[in-house]
Amino acid sequence: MLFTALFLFLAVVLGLVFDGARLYFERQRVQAAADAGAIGGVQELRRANNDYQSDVLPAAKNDIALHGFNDSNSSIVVNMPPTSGEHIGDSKYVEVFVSTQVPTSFMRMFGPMMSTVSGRAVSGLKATGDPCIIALDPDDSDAFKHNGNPTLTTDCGIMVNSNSATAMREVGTGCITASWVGITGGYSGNCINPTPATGIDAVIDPLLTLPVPDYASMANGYVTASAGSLAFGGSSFAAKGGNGNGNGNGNGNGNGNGGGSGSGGGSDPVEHYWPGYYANEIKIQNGAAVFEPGVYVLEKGLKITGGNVTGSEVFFYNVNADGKQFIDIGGNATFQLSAPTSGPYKGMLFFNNRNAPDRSPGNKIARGTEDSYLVGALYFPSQHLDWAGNPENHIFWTMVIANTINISGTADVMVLNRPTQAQAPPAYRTVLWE
Amino acid sequence: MKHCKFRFLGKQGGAMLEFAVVLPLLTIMSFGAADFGRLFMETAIVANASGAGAIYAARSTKEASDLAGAEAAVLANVNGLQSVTPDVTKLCDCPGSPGAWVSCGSTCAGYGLPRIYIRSKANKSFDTIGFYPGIPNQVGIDISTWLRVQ
Repeated sequence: MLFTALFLFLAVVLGLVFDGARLYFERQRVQAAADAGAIGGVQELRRANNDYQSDVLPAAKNDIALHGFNDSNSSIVVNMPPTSGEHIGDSKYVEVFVSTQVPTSFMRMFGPMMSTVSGRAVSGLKATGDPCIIALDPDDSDAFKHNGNPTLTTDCGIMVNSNSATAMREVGTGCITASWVGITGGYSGNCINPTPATGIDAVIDPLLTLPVPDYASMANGYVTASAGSLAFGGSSFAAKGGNGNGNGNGNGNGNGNGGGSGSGGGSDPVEHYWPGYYANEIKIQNGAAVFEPGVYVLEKGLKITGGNVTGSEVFFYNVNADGKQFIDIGGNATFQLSAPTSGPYKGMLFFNNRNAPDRSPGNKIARGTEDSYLVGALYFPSQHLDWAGNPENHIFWTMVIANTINISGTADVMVLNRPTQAQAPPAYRTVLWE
Repeated sequence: MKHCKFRFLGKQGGAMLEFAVVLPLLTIMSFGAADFGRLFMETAIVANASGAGAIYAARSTKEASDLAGAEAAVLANVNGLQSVTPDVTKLCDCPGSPGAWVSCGSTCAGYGLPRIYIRSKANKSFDTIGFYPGIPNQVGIDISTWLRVQ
């Protein structure tokens, strides 16, 4: 009798343990589904797809379904903004509840035939120091290097995604001053203001969803020439030397007819580049050139080593399939290029193919003359950017994103991240908060 | 008065008989409890390892391409459990056709770059230490964790 009683007692206990363990396991599954749903919803927010009904809700439910839960076998609630917890009312966060009924095996002897397990997750976008200079490489040493004499000053942040112990290196006599400096790994250097925050989660490329121009059917770009002069800054100068032949780079029509040997200004030819697809490198070594407003797709890069180059409302996409067709701007050139202020490439000046292999020496933005400036984002997500200082008091109103960045030279660089000018979206990272 | 037919065994004998009847069941239950405990523990470990691989790869699109690193993350979280097989995959789809996997370098009409997912699978074969009639003595633990990267 005693054995039988003990046996029955043991059977009941084991049964309860069995049911409890199963419920625990189901709880893990439901929680994983809720986590995935919250992150899935927030990924839409990161793409600026902010509509709850058409963007966030279906994305969250899709990712919950990947874990086996849907409206027919569970209860799913997606809230944007959250209705509970620390982020009530914050529309950059998504809250997900998933609950499901699990049939009991032994516990039903005591009544409950089903038991409810549920999970809750809150995920959101967290601004990461508002960086306007970002080195994306995840593990390179010297992913961001600052050497030589220049000072680097920004009114926004610097983020280095590399987890290397020497992800950021500051050498030489210049200093870095930014509103915030974050590094996933570590750094060396003694003139970085403020002191970098290390161990910061890598940020997601804020321009990740920027679409590549559809250039399959794009008309070829071409070059024309006209007589005239270009005005830079507060002074004007004559276009130098040009022979008015239109250099025929790209597939251009190269039909310049400005000819002549003008001197002193007013009559020298100016090459006019027109938007479109350029199959060959655009190379400007001297003379005056104007990039007319629009989208330029460059198969083999852009090289400006001299001359006087202007262009407003211009955007350059570099196909650079083999990774060796760089953007190379500097030398003795005077360049004044600014990004579109409206349209899909608002704020974007240079965009290098995301899949371009990272080859040496990389893209180069050098100092140019004292009247030079660039307005707009410099975006080289898979490649190196060698960035030499611009003369003092000249400002890049821009955002700089590259795989790795090296700042060198002798003059100062200033980066301002102005919302009224050409600004790219702020960097956010996705966080699973609760 | 009715006589019990095992009365000749006496009180101690009765207890022994009862014990003899219950012992096999008790043995099966003990092994069953031990096996269930092991199964539960190993499932929890495999699920945790699967999640670790997904979290590793979902940190960024760069890590999403480091599938070997993600599988190493799975194996680093098995707490000494042997024979866990990781299988981390990067998959991409468009919102209009969920689950219809496309090249991650492609473009979704009206959406841009496709959604990127990491599927972190971890599996292990579990062998029972006892034999239970009608119940297989080998079962597979196969856990997948999905996380969206982009």
